[in-house]
Amino acid sequence: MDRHNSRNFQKPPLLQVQSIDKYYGSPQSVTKALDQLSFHVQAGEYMAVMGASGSGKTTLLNCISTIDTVSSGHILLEGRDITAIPPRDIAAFRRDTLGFVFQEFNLLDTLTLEENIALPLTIRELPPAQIQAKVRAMADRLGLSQALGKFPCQVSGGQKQRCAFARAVIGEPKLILADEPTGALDSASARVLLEIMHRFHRESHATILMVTHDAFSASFAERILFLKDGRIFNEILKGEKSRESFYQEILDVLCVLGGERPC
Amino acid sequence: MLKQLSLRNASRQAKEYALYFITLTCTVSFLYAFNTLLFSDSVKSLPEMQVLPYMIIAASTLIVFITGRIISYMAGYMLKRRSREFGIYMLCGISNRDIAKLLSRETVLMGLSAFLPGLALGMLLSQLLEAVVLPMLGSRYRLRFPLSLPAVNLTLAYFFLMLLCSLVKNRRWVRRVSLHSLLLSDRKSETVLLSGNGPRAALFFLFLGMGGAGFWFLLSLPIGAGFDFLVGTVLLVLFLFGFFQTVPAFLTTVPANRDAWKYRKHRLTVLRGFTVRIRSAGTALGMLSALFCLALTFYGIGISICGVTDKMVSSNLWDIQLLHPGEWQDFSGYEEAIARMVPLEASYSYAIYTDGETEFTDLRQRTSQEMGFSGNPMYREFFHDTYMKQSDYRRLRELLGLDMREVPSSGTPLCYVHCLPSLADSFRDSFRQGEKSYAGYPISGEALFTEDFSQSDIYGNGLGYILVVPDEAVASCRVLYSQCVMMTARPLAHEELEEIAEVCGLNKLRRNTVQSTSGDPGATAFVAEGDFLSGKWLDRDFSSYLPALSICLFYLALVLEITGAAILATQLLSDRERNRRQDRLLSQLGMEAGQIRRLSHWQTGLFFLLPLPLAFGVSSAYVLLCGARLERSLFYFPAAMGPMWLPGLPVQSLVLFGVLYGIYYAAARIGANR
Repeated sequence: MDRHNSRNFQKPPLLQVQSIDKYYGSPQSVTKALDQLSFHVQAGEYMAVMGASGSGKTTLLNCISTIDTVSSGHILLEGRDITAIPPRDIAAFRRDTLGFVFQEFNLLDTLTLEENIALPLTIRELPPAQIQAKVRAMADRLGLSQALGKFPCQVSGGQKQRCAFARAVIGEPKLILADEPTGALDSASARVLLEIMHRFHRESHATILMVTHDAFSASFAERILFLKDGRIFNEILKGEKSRESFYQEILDVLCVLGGERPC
Repeated sequence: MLKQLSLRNASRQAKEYALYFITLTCTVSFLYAFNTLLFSDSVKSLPEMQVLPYMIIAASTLIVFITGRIISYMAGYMLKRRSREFGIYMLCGISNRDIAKLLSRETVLMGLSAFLPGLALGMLLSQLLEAVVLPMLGSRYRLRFPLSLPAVNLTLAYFFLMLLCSLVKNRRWVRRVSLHSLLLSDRKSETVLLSGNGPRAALFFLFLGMGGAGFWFLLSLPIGAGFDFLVGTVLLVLFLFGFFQTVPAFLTTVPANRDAWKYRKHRLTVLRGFTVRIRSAGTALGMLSALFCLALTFYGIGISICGVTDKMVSSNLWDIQLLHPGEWQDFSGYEEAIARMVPLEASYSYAIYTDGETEFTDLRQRTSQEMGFSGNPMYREFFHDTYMKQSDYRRLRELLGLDMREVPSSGTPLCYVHCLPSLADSFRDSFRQGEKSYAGYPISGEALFTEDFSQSDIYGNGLGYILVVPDEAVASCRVLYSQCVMMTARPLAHEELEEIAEVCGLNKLRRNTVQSTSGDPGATAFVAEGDFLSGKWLDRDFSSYLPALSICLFYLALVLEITGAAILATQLLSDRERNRRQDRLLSQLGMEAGQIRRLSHWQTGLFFLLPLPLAFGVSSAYVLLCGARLERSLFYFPAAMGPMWLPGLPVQSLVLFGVLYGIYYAAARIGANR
């Protein structure tokens, strides 16, 4: 972690997670989901968070996305403490700052793919002509042009997830949060989506924070945080390594994380 | 173990499916309330109400059938919701047969728990019903809360018949269903989205055209002989069902393809949610619209019947009227006898005269016919002009509390006309065309009186009009009939009228029972020797079959309405999970909570109101048609009911409908938000 922080000294980080704790349960039975967790994400960075079930990955994502609140600590996005945003401003914050990709796509099955992609822009009340142009451009970029008029039930899982990704990025959010985006996809569709995400990150300098338990998915990221029991267990950087060797490195860390090898 | 499970499931469902309970409870209460009328001593004592029990039994049979369907539908919906639960029972080794038994027990338990509150509500409702019905039928109402055992038994029989319908169907489903389809039931949802739009969107306009043509046939009756009604009804039924089958296709091909429209003002999710909902429930919505149309029509016709009945009674100003045909009669003996039986406030005897002229009678007839009424009385007494002495007229106005407007004259006594408001313009026009006089006395064009004066029905103060002439002018006339009018301190009951007729030896004047003789034109209601008893309360007695009919119409309308509303609310609740998912997602995408709530209200409101406008439009055509027909058949003259009566009928029926509908809407919203 320190190694990474020392590397990013020129610009202030986009996201700063500062000593956050998250407790669940009643006073009689408390579960500590996040334990003094701290890290930074630079603008334009593609970061993955890995860990076993119950390690706190999704809780962390929920806290960053303001779906859940922290018990203590602070999360700063562009210097603004999002744990202190009043409830009435949270919707506007999500709308203007965040993009979400979920494991189960979360598309509205009553809308066509085109309308699903346009949804965040209609919420921002952009002019219809501008919405249409942006949606078409994004669909071209993600290979969805032919499926725009279809409903989610009429397309494949891969197309659904690409549509969900398009919806997440169409509003040009500062931070894209992806929760197991390949979890419901077959391997071929997963690869296509990951390549699209990677290309999008490279071309648009989008900041992506992806939670996954899949080493292959994580190997597309530039940096990976490993969580265990709500704490950072390890952190690895891709650097100049090939994706294959980075993938191998991830597997090694996972072996250690799972107790197969000494740390 | 299964028994305990049934009990637990039934109690759990009581919380979750409040609407099902409301519907069962309302149905029981309606059935009980109307069944008590069958066994009510007060109603049995009314000889004119012999038809009511048959009407109620016929309506109840229809209601058992309709409500049986809705209970079956709702129970089916509950079963589908619980598919996964049943699947788990099967996985645990419970057989289909045992699950069907479990279901039967639950249904009976839930039915019984709805029956008891329904009965309690029904007792209250039955008293409300008697409080409304008995005064309408000229009988006195006394508050009491007896439990009518025969009515309870009959209600129980109807109720179990309805439950049985639902039970048989759903048991069959449970016994045949496979484990696979139970566990995967929530995965087959979206196939309805796949059908094509093109031809349907074109058909939408065809059905709209049919609707327009249907309205035209009903309202303008171009063919006659009932064919208009038949053709209009067929077209409107096609319109109702076709509209809901094709409107989603129209919406998805026209507004949904216009980005400039759908991407503005957060319309997107509402529009799409709406089109998907109506596309998947097009047939059901057509059926609902037809049910609401029937309910609104029955309300409207019921209100119109009550209105004309009231008008028929109130257009006769006198509580008691004694009549003697052809000559002057001294009624003082009757007055004394009647005063001993009922509290009299005032009475007055006078005569109606005629002289064989027809100038004003012709004018009345022409005016009525021009306005679409018959205007042609069958009673021979009104084939000629009718007159009244001025002294009698002044005294009658005093009795009625009407001021007498004095008309300046040059010393010569004047004649006046007192007529129905709808005839006033014709009389004025006639006077403008030239000065008129009677027996040398000029008729004043300025003094035209139009207050209520017992003129819209026969044997009052003339039919439609009367010429008020100086006393000495009637010297050359003959008495058409003499009458004694009385005002009582309170409304008279059926029993009191019977007593008066019996003690005084009076014939009851039935206006629709006439006698004709070969030598004379027309007919007369003076069908027997002697004197006749009439008056507003006797008229009400004779027309009591009309309130009986309206009671049954209200009964049917109520049940049809709750049936439709319950189906709609159930459909709405079935969307609860989808709507929640949508709200959650919109919140994650950054839509304000207030905006999400507004969209949700819009979506619910649109769906709930969707079947109403068409139902209201179509029912309005029927209500206007029936109201106009009813008015024309019961009154000789136009505008007897007032100019706003007819257009007000659909509005009143909508208001009546809206009360119960609002309760269901609120229940559906609460259920959806829970």
